Amino acid sequence: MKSFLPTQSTVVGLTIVLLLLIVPLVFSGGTQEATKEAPTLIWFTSVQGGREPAEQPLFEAEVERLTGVKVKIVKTTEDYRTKLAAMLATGEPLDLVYVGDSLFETLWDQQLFAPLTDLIEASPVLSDPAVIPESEWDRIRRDDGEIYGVFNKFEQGTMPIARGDWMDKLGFGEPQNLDEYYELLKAFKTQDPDGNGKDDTYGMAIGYTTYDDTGIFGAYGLMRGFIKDSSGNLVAPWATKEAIPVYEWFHKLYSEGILEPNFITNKSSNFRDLFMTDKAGMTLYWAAWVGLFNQQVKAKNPDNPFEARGLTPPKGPGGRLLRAGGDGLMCVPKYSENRELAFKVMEFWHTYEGNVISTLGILGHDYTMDGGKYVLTETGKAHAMDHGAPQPKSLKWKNPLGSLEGFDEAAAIVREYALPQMPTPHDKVWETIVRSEAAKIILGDITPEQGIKNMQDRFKEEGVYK
Amino acid sequence: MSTSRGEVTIAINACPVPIAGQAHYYEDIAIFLLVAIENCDMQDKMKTTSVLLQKLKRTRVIYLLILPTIVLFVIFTYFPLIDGLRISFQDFRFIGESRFVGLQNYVEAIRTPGFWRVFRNTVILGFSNVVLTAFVPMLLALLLNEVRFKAWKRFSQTIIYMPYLFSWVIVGGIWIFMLSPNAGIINAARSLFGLEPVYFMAKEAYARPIIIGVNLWKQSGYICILFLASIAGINPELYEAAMIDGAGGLKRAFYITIPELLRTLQVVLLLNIMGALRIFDQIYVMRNEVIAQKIDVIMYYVYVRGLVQFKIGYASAIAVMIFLLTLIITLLAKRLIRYTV
Repeated sequence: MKSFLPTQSTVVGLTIVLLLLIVPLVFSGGTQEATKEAPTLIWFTSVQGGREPAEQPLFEAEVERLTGVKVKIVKTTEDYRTKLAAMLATGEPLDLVYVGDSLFETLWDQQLFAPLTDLIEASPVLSDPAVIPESEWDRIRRDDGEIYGVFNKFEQGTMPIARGDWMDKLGFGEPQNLDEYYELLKAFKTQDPDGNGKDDTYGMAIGYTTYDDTGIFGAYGLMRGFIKDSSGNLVAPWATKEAIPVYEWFHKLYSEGILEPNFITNKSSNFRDLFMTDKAGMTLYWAAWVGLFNQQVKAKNPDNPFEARGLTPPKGPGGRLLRAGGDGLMCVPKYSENRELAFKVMEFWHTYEGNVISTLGILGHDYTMDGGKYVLTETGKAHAMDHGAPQPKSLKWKNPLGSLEGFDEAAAIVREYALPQMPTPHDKVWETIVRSEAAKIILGDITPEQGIKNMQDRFKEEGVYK
Repeated sequence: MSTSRGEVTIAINACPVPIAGQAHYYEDIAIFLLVAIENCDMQDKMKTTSVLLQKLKRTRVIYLLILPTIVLFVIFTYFPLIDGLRISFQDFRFIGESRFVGLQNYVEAIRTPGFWRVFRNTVILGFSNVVLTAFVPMLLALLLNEVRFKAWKRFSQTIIYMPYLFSWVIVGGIWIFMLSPNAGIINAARSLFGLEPVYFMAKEAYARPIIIGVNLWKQSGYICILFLASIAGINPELYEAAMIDGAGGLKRAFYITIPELLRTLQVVLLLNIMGALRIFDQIYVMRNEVIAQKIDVIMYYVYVRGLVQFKIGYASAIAVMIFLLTLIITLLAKRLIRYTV
C-alpha cells in the first residue's frame, strides 16, 4: 500500500499547483482596468438578442455595427428572476437589464434602477410623440415624477384564438357572447372538425389553469390580477362573487369534455401544440401567436388548411375586455458606470434600424438586401421576424415585409378591447391562490362560492387583504 | 461523505446560486461539523501529544492531499454560511446599505402560517423518504439476491437502477404524462376495467403519495446497488454453514444477510436523514398550484421568498433555521443509530 503513495515532494508540488489554479479563480475580476478603456455593455435579457446562443455573437456585432457600442448579451429564458437575483447579489456589472412589469414592481422597493427621465426628454427619438406618445411615458412615470425604464415593444395582449378554417367548415360565424362561445367549442368537440372520423378533438386547450382567461372573465368586466377599490385597497376581481358565472361556464366545459383535461399541468408549449396539431379548436393566448401559429403550421405544410384566427372577446354584462401585455422595460442599474452608453442602445432600439434588428434580425444572417428590398433567409424565416420586439413600440414602424397571416386583424381587436393589468408586488401570490382554487372549482371538487371564500381567506393569510 | 479512522472525504455540494443555495451550504457545514466532532472524539482518545504528532507525521501526505478540498470548502461553503447568517439579520438590499433588523426575519418566519404548512409538508415527505428509500431498496436487494438466473438478475438491476440516471426534469415529465387523465398509461389501464379517468396531479389526496412514490421509484436503484454490494461482501462460508445446518432461504436472509446489511442500512439512513430537508428539485418540477398546499416544502419556500419575491433576508433566516435543524436531527439520528444497533 505504502509503495503506491506519491512521494512527499510530489504531493507538495501537486498541492501548490492546485492552489495556484484555485486562487486566481476565486480572486478573478481584475480585468476592469481593461474594460474601462473600451467599455462593453453587459445586457441581461430574456427577450432581446439572437434566437439561439450561436446567433448571439452575430447580434452583438450587428448592434456594434449600427451603434458603435460594444455589447455583451447575457440571454436566458428559464428562471430569469433567479438568475437576475444571483447576478445582482454577486455584484455582476450589469448595464442594461430587461424586466417585466411584475418583476419591476417586485424590485421597486430595492431602488435598484437609475432614473432616465432627463435622457428621455433630451432624446430626439424617444421624446418624439410620433414614435412614442407622451401619454405612454406618463403611464410608467412613478410618483416621484421619474421614469426608470424604456419600453421594449408594443406588448399586445391575450385573446381567444380559434381555428378559423374549422369555424368556416362547421358553418359558425364569430361568436358574440358566452353562450355562442359554448356552442362553438361544443361543435369543435363533437362535430369532428378535422374530418378524421375519430372523437379526438377538444373545444379548447389552455394551461396553468388560468394562464390568461381575461377574454372570458372580461364578459363580466373582471380584470386579471388586482385592482384598487375606492379606499385604495387591493381587490382580486376573479375572487369575487361576480366571477361565479364564469367559473360555472368553465366547469360546464370541463364536465362535458369540451375543455382539454390537462389544463392544470399544461405548459404553454403543451396547449400551443394541441392547437397546432388539430387537437383543440381554440386557445386563449397572445395575439402575436395568431400570426406565429399560421406561420409555423404553414412552414411545415403549405397545403395545410389550418387558419388561426383572433376572435372578438365575448360580450356580457361587463362588456368586452382583454388583457394588454404588461410593459417590459429596459432599465439601467444604479451602479452602472455606463448609463449614457446604455441609453444610447435603448434609444437605438426605437429607431428604424433598431426596429429592423429587433424584428427581422441580422443583416446577412436573418435577411439580405436585394435591390433595396428586404429578403428573409431560411434562418430568418425560422426566426419568424422576432428578435426581441416582433411588434416595435414605435408608431413610425411599418414592417417592410408585411405582417404574419392574421396578425393585423388580431392586433386591431386587442387595441380596441385590451386594458393593462395593474402590476403589484403580489402578482405571484395572486397566481398561486387563484389558479389553485379556480382549478378546484373547474374540476368540480368545490363549489364556486367555496372557492371564492378560500381565495379571500388565503389572500388574508398572505397579508394581501387587510 | 464518509468517515473512517480519521480519514475524511468531504463531498462539496457546490451550488451555482449562493443566496438560493444557502440551505444546501448549511447542510454541508452540518456534515463537516459532524466530521470535526468525530475527529475531536478520536483525538480525545489519544493518550499523549507525541502520539498525535506521530500520527500526523505518518498521515501528513493524506492531509496535504485533502488541503485543496478544504480550501474550496472554506471559500464556497463557510463564506456563504457566514454571509447568509449576516443577511438573515438584515433587511437586505442588492445595492446600498442593508439595514440591521435583529431577529425580525426569524420572528416573521415563524409567525407566517405558510411557513408552518411547508414545514409540515417537509416533515411528512422527508420522513417518508427516509424510511421508504432505505427499507424498500433493501427488500429489493434481498429479492434480487435470490434470483439465480444471472442474465435476468442483471437485467432487473439495470431496470431498477435506470431511473436514478435521469434528472428530475425527465422523471417529473414522464410521471406527469403517465398520470395525465387522457393520455396517461395509468388511466388507460383504469379504463380497461371501466373506471373513470382520474386527474391524479390535480387531486390533493394523491399529491403526497405520488411525490413519495416517484421519489422511491427514482432513488431505489441506487440504494439497492449499495445493498447488493454489501451482500456481495458477505462471507459465503456463512451461507454454506447455514445450509449444512438445514437453514432455508428465509432463515438465511433473516439470520445472515439482514444482520450483515445493518451497517449499510445505518449509512443509508444517515444519508437519507441528512437529505430529508433538502427536497427541492422534484417539487419544483412536479408541483402545480392545485396540489401545492400539500407538497410545497421548505426549500421551495426559500426559493420563492428569496428569488421570486426577493425577500432575501427573510429567506436567509429560514435557510439558517434549516441548517440548525439538519444539524440537530443528524446528530440525534447518529446517536440513536449508534446506541440501538
